[in-house]
Amino acid sequence: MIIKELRAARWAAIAGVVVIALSVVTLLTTNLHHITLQDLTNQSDSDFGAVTSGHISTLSATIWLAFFSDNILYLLVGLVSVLLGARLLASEAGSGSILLLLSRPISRERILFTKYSVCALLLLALCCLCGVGALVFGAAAGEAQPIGGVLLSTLLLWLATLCVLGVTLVYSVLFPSSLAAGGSGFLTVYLLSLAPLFHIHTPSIPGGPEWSLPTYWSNLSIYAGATNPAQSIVVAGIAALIPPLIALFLFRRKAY
Amino acid sequence: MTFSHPDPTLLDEAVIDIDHLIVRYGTRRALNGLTLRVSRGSIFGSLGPNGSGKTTTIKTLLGFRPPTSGSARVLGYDIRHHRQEINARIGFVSETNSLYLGMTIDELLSFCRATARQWSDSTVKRYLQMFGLPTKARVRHLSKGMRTQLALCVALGSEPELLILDEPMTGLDPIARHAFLKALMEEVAPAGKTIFFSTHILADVETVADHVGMLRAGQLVLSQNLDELKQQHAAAVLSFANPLEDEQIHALQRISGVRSMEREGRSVRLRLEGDVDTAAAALRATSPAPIDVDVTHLTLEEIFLQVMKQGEA
Repeated sequence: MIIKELRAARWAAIAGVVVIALSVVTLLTTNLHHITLQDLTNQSDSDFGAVTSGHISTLSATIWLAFFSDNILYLLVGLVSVLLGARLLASEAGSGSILLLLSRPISRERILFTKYSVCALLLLALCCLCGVGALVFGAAAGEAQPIGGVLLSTLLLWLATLCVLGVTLVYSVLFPSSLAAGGSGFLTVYLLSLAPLFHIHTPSIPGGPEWSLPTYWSNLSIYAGATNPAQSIVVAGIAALIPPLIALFLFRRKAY
Repeated sequence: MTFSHPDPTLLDEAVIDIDHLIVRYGTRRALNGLTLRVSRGSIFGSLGPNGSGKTTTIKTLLGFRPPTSGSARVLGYDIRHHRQEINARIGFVSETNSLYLGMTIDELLSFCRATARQWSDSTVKRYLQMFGLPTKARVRHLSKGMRTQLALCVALGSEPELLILDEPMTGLDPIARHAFLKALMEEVAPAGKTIFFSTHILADVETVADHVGMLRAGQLVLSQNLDELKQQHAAAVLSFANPLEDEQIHALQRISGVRSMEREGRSVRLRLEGDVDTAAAALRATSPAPIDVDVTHLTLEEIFLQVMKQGEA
């Protein structure tokens, strides 16, 4: 069953590798030693307070931006996770193969857990690629990256992918179409965390950043070691845990 | 606390034991108090028009759909609590085949082997050879008939005690249908497996089944041994020298076993049910004596239509 799931997930995994490759190409075409804080703020909405306060250099911030924010956050978290989650059960229900799967002597919990775990491990591998990329680019540029920051950012990025994977999985249980599940998952994630209303620097909402999941998923201060990561880990962890539990609850009761 | 062992007293009696089962689709009752028993070793054909609850019965037995109320046991296990135990002991072939189209036959069999409690490679190999299925071929490249044959191979691979088939012959060409039926009759049934199948094709039931159940609006309206059923349903045409008076017609209707009657000039067409031979003898002895009495047993299709018509009435 694991082999079947790996085979089914291969295209989404390839898409993830392509997304990371884009970040690598972006960094390769950038003169890292001449990046200024102004360049970074022009380029991204992220909070560069850790650079201003001197906790981290602009070079390291550029590397963090490439592997743990912006494109990675939008494409790896917002797209690859959706691609992986949408097909998990919806494609089986759509093709009718769910009947073969459910007629095997396996519990529904195990079916869901196996499918989810394979995707979660694939996403972990992709997130680790980001971490390795940051370390390699830092070393190549002559500025070692903070190991703890890289590990924590990798963990938070993974929890972000798991949250989106779980949200899409909920729709994958509800709809017998990968397209409908993916579309609904993407829309939900967009509305919850990526829309301008909830984005990091939305001044229109009191405490806007606190209500934005990307604030916890992608944080330069944590990368720089300037902030205690506990709150981010707890929030991102809870956000990652709730959707698959809802999906499990629904799948156990779903009639086919 | 739930027990994983079946009730041994039930194993001797019924492989499938459904008691007043109700399954709802929204406000509609797909199964409306279905009560049904299938004996071990029998080949049970489940018949009924579209929407009568045939597929819902199977889906509920397999745990795809939870029952609203009532109870059902398969191989002695309660369907609400022992889905895995049940699925470990049954083989299932669905109307849609529900196979993984992107896999090769070898890959599909590997998947099924990995997810089965027990698996017999030799059984699968034997059936693959019997059907001439190429193991390197992708499932999507197989014809519908070959996919159904493959689904049967997969179902039999786990050496099931009970085989459940949901309209497996629908859409098959005559050759594929014949090969499938032949495998059921010559290989599966003699191995002592119980077969429960639903179908629209009455000829298949007549070929394969030894017991028939007819469903209508989610209820079982008839369940009987096929030979007995056919023995107990007949049509009689009585020809008289002169047209019968109303009183003489009423006298015929009062004969035990006569269910309905149509007058056609000097002939009377009757439907007989129950002890057909006794009823026919009584008809021959009636007064005025008929010139000719022609009794023919009904086909399953005729019986089915009669039963459905009675239900509507």
